[in-house]
Amino acid sequence: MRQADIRAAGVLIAAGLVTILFVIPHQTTPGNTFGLPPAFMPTLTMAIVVGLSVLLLLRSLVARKDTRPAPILAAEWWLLLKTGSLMLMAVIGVDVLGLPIGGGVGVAAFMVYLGERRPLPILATSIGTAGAVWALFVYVLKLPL
Amino acid sequence: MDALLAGFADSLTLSAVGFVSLGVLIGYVVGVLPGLSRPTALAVAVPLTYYMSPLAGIAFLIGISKASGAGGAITAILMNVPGEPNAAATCLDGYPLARQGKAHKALTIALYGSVIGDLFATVVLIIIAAPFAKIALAIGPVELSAILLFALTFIAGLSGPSLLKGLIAGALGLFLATVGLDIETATPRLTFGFLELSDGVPIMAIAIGILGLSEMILQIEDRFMGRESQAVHTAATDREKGGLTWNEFKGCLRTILRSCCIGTGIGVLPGLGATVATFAAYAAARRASTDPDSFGKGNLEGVAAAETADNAHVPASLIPLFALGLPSSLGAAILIGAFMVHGIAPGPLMFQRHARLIYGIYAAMLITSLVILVVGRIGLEGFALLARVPTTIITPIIIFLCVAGSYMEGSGMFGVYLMFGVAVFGYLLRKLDFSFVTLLIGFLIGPMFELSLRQSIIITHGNARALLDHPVAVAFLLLTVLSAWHLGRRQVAAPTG
Repeated sequence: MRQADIRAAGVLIAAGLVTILFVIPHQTTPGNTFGLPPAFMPTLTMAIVVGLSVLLLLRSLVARKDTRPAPILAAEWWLLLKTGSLMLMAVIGVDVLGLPIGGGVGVAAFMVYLGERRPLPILATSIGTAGAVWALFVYVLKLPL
Repeated sequence: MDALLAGFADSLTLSAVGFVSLGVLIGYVVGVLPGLSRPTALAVAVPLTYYMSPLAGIAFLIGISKASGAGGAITAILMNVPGEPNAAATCLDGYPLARQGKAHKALTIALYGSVIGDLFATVVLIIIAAPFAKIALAIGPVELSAILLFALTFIAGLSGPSLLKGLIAGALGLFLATVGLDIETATPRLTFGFLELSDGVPIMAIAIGILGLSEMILQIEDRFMGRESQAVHTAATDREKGGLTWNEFKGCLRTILRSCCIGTGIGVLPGLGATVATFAAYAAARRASTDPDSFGKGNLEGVAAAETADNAHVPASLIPLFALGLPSSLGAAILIGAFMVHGIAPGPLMFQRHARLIYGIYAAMLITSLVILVVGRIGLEGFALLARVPTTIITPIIIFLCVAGSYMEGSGMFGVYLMFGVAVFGYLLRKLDFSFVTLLIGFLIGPMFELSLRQSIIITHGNARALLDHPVAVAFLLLTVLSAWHLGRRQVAAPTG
């Protein structure tokens, strides 16, 4: 965890400084002549993030080395990549094919990904879920899909 | 009095009772299914309420919230798998009772404890929320800023293993809340030219992404890494024929009443979740028992204590929400989101502006308790069967519901893509022990905090000495420092992350 904390603190400090120095000035207006400028709260909160991250970095640097495994193992990074890619494809599927069809395909894809091989449960679950959500949108919520 | 009667009449309509019952049914299912937690279900269900009346929507969500606690006991007792983290204490005595063939007794005392705890805390909410709100109305922006700062620090310290990481998460939540139109100049702020961000980052994209989808990523990981809970089915068939006797119930009554007070007390305090309440009530029951050694081996009082406190926690956590607009738990934080999508700002003014709605919610909460009792008595064994549905079916359905829920919020596919990004971010937060609870609460109280902080700076002319004119604010600032020092020191003494 110590190494992970050092890396996390480093990323937060870098991202925080970029946000304070470049993003906030470009994404806010100067504001009125009275009161506080719109950049006040984003800058304050991000400065707190940077300050606390510096503390986290220092604390982690002086902490004793721990023997516990890393919070995210290599196999878990690989799984995150696979699961995340499938989720992203499912979201793109919903974007392209629409919520009922894209969603149904996504449900079926995830069932196969998780190890389900029986066609009947796959078909019944994907069609049933997509159909139920479609009916909810069209008949209950009166929202066209 | 007119608002009171009108509110109660509103909640007694067929549609309101129907939505409460639907919420209770969904809540039971959520409670029974291991891995699907109360906040996740609430986050996914909030978009469904857009098209309901505010009363029906809130009553529906409260039904889910309350019944999921009662449902969590079923898997805890029958399978030694807590459907919800809060039900972990129920496993301690519930599962041994089931193995002794007393599953039915355990399920019944869990149900009665749940309903009594829920009713007790709801009555406390009804009695004290309005007077609290009157006091809260006298609170100015300086005091409110200090209270919000204290609550966020307290939650940051208690909701994760590291105060420092909790505070970072809270500050990130406050930062996210600044996206959208500036409250003073109404000019775009951090929107990157996206019109969808003009009203701020969509609440549901954040809530569903962090709570729902990231939880599903973790569950998929657990499945592939061989960490999935192996449920041991038991007792459903070999249960004792006889139910709970009056004497057994009477023997648990003192424990139930004690646990009502513990659950309610802990529910009011920010950050101390229902799990703390259940274990505190369990420990108190054991200490007070004449036979403490029987705890953990199948004592009905152990089940009664845990379940009563768990269900008393839910209505109690709404007291600071209704009186101050301050969420003291994750479930309450999501309810803030639900109020906001209906154009209602939770807080003391709600009692003046939406008195009829408040009384309607009170009545709906009382009705929910009765519906839980009826549904629980009729359907206990039916719900128990749901626990056998495999994750290969449940997880894809929940992922789809996350997408549909985020799509429904109004920002369309923008919200869905955003939710996906937030889910990956939420996964990393959870893995690295940054409190996602504090981030979400920081995000939800962000607009209120910014407004009160800006007003405070104007009132005090930015002069720290002017704070001396606000003793309540000074007291809360001191409490913030003290709690940060205490929580930080405790975590240094027992490092966990």
